Amino acid sequence: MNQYDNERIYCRRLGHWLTFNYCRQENSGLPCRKIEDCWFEKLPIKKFLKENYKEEEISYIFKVQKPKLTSIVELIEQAKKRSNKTP
Amino acid sequence: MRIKTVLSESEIPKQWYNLAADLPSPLQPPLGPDGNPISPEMLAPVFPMNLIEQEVSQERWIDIPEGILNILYKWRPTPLHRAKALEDYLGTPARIYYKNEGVSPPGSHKPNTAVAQAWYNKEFGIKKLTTETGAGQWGSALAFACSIVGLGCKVYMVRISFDQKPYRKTMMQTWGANCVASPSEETKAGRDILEKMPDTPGSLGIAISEAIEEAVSDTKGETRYSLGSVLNHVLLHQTIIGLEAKKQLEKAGENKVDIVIGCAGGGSNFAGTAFPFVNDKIHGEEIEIIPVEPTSCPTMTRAPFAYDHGDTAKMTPLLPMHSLGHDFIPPPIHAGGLRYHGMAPLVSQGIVEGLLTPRALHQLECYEAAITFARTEGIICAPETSHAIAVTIQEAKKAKEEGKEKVILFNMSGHGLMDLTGYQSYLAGKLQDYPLPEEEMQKSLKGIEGLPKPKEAKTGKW
Ligand SMILES: Cc1ncc(COP(=O)(O)O)c(C=O)c1O
Repeated sequence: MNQYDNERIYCRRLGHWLTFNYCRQENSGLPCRKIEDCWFEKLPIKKFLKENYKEEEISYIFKVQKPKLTSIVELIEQAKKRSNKTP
Repeated sequence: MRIKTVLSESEIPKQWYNLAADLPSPLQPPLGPDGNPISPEMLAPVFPMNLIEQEVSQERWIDIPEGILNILYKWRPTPLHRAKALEDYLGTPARIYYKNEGVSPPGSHKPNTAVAQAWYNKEFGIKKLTTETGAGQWGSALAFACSIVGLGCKVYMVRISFDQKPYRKTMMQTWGANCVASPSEETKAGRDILEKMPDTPGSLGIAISEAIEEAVSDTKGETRYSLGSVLNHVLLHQTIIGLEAKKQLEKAGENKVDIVIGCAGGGSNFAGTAFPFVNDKIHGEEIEIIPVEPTSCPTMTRAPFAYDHGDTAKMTPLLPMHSLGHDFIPPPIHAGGLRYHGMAPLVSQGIVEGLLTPRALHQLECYEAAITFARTEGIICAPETSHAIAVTIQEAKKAKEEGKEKVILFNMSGHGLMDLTGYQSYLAGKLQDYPLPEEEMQKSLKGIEGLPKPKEAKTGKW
């Protein structure tokens, strides 16, 4: 699992250099949804995913991405729900 | 020979250009989670109504308020440079020009929209803006803008970036912003994550949730959220770059541009530079317009690997196009703007139409270009910007081979003085490229044989 942890890459989403260790845990402990797009040239990333994650986890990581405005509307709804629950 | 063409403040463009008015195939309206079009009211908890109006506007020209211009004058109009030293070094007959957006106080194009957004929020009666940031390019631009406009600013900076990029955090704090590491104890979203994973390095996803929660849960309704790229109104505010460039090129004696180049992350500096020229192209001019991205993690030149995976495949046509060369454009995956996730829908549609021809480059070529640029023009550019410079050099060399006097314009979107790690690795010989082996590419191509071609919403004119 941690054999590639020190490999370095420029993360386009964050805008700085980081190590693979971050990419494989970015999504609440699961890999970042861009992990294959970023690493496909450098590591046997497909094999890595297959060996270390369940199929359901892989489906969850790569679930279809929504357009930006749609995801903002979803985050607003989620935030409203959370604030209503907060005392 | 004139190296810099400057405009006086009185010559600054007084309107932004909205490409949505001229796109030959209109954008699909964005849909909400329930599948119905998103209404302005649904966005009202996070954006002020004046910006929501701009987001959906079909007006071609939108007046830039005097109040915004008065702030932009602090560094705008930005100079248009003739890259004479680079031309001489390359021995090219091409004339190369670049807009220098690195002269803004935070050092990039980002304050063009940060200032506009802060100003419109203030007009609407808002007191504080929230946002998320990684390395802090956007966070520092918003912190600067809020400081000048007179708004509070809260930046949720992804924990790993907060720890690794202390100088940008200090910039934000210097401009008076409250910059916290995300996940934080300040929101329910942050606390929930910290409870489960106290040592988490954070993510942009969590930081966005926190920034939106803070805006939504302000019971006084005085807090809103701000985004630095992708959305239509952000691209609109950036068009001042291309509009200034047009005036400056004319002043420099150029009446035709052949090639316009910009790097594209979310698409804002590219769109800002290129859209006024896309308008000319729509009206018959012959211009090659090139958004550039890295081969690693591309959004325009190759469909994401996510489309290889189960669930996704059921919902959208499967198009696993892996690294098919720099001028390959995959067919659209989804008519509703899903095609290039993370890329501005207006840029995506421009690619579908064939008005824009995206290109992907390996990092080594980009750093080489950045070094050449630094040693000729003197400016150390941002890592993103190096992609635009690398394609400029490719095109200048091509012009030399063809013996053509082409006019090339690119956007120098920012300086790289806060981002020297990549230069350090390059100079130490530690950067490598990993071209995808030919057999891998052939395997990928085989994988898509016989798959249905999705419908394209395009006119087919370009
Ligand atoms: C200097 C610079 N150029 C370009 C970009 C890419 O963003 P966009 O595509 O929205 O212009 C960034 C993003 O942080 C940047 O800092």
